[in-house]
Amino acid sequence: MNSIKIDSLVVKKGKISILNVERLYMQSPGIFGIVGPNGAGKSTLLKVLSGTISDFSGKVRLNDLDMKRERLKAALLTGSIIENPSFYPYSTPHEFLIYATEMRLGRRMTDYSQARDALYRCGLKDKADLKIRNLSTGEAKRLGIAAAFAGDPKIVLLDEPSENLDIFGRKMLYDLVKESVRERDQLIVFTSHDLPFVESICSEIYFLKQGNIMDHIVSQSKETNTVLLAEDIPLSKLDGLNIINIRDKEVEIDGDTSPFLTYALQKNIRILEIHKKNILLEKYVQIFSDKT
Amino acid sequence: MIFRFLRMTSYFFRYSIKSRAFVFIIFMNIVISLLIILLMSSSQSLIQSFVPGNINTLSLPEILKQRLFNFQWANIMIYIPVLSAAFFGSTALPYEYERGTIFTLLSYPVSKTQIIVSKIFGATLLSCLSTLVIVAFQLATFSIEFKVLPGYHFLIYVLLLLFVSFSDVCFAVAVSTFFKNSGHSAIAFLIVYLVILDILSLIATDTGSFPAILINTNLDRVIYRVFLNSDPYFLTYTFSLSPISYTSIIYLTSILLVYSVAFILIAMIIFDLRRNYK
Repeated sequence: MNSIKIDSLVVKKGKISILNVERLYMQSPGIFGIVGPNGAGKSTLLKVLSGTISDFSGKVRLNDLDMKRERLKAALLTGSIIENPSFYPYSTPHEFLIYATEMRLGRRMTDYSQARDALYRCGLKDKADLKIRNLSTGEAKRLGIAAAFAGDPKIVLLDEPSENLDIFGRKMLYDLVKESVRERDQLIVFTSHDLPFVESICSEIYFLKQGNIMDHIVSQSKETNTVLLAEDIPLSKLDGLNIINIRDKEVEIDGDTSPFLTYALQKNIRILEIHKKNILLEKYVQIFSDKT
Repeated sequence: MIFRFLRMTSYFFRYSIKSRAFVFIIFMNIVISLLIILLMSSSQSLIQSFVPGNINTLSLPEILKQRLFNFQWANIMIYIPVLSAAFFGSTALPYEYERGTIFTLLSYPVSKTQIIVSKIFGATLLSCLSTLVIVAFQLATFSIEFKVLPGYHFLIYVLLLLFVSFSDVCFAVAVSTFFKNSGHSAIAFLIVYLVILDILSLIATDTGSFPAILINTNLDRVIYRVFLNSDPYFLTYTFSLSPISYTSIIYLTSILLVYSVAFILIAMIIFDLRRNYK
């Protein structure tokens, strides 16, 4: 099992605190999303976890390894793509991926075709031997994603991975992340402004505002549906119908709507519409509206 | 640990030799070599200018002619390690900031010390390679001119060139740790090396407050003194048709080694203190 434990983490820029996380615990298998507006501290948090920022107070532990005292050991656990990935322009994606894998493993790769396979998987089949400077922004992002997963790290940190990706790229990212969690028990943390994507992939989502974690939601609570009734009918929160809230003609249902629909049919209650409630968006607006 | 260090060094070296900057400096070194050949073939009086009094160069012993020949090449060669260090050493680390690849590098299980030392070794390899291009031209023209291969002094000269290349790269990398822009870093290194240290040398010679030979730039000039113990740039000008003694070479290179170690330590400390990589 892989885990991230944070206690009283404070990162300062000069005298200003840019990240202040009182407590955070993540554990595999899981995909953890961190959302928030620009300047909320998302990238800073990932930089702390990837070891590129060492100037912080508090405790950060990756699989019980202290990020301050055992940074090199902790770095063995992580693969990351921080901010817009940049590469050496005169190298090729294939060379870079071999380099990234060997740097992680600490030994020579026995089979270089694995690097080529990873590139194929990330949609860079025809670009493997091109110079990196000839790649587009989206292709460079795909290479960054391939490099983050190179060498099968236990914890993968992805900063804005879906940015600049086309629809096929996003599908590739979705499949790669899901498969990594399912088959390799990897712990994935990623930041994004892409709320629909975050919602579709994450098991848990944290809301970061001005360096502080304001709230979080888990996947079960994301599945909320709203049923709009034709007339105002007095209903109580009956057991087994998954009703969360009743307001005028709107009934909020947690997860599966079929018990309520069966009940409505039996009681001859007319239903005008059923729609999935976007909890993430609502929460996002609720938390960040004063900022945005 | 060692594998990752070697991998970082070899990757830096391998992508750098594919860069336009490297191709450019190799091209420039070829141009410099051709210009030196042109200069030496067009002006025999150059040798005469290095010989005092009314000695006729034509009547000089063969061994002295050979030393004069190499001395003239070496006089130009002293700038090559400095310029190569400015090109490769000064830019090695700031380039990582400019490209944003520093975050990738720092996320690997390697220490900052390993990163700095790998940059120094990688840049030294590049600097040595570019320097050896001119050395190859020098060796070829020498062999054609004198119909023999140069003696062991030439080997010492090449080894000193490579060592000075390393030392200058250490210097350049130490200066570069203060900068995040490769252009600023290279210019700062050249200003310190070519202007500030030269002024310090003049002050030292003028006031006699400390030995000017201990200044880095003067130490680097041991390169051509392997052929003739003469230093036209140094105010305490002495002239000898004999090469510098081995004791002096060891003494001067030892000081240069101390400088190099000091530069590596400075680079490591400054890089370790750096918190902002953007």
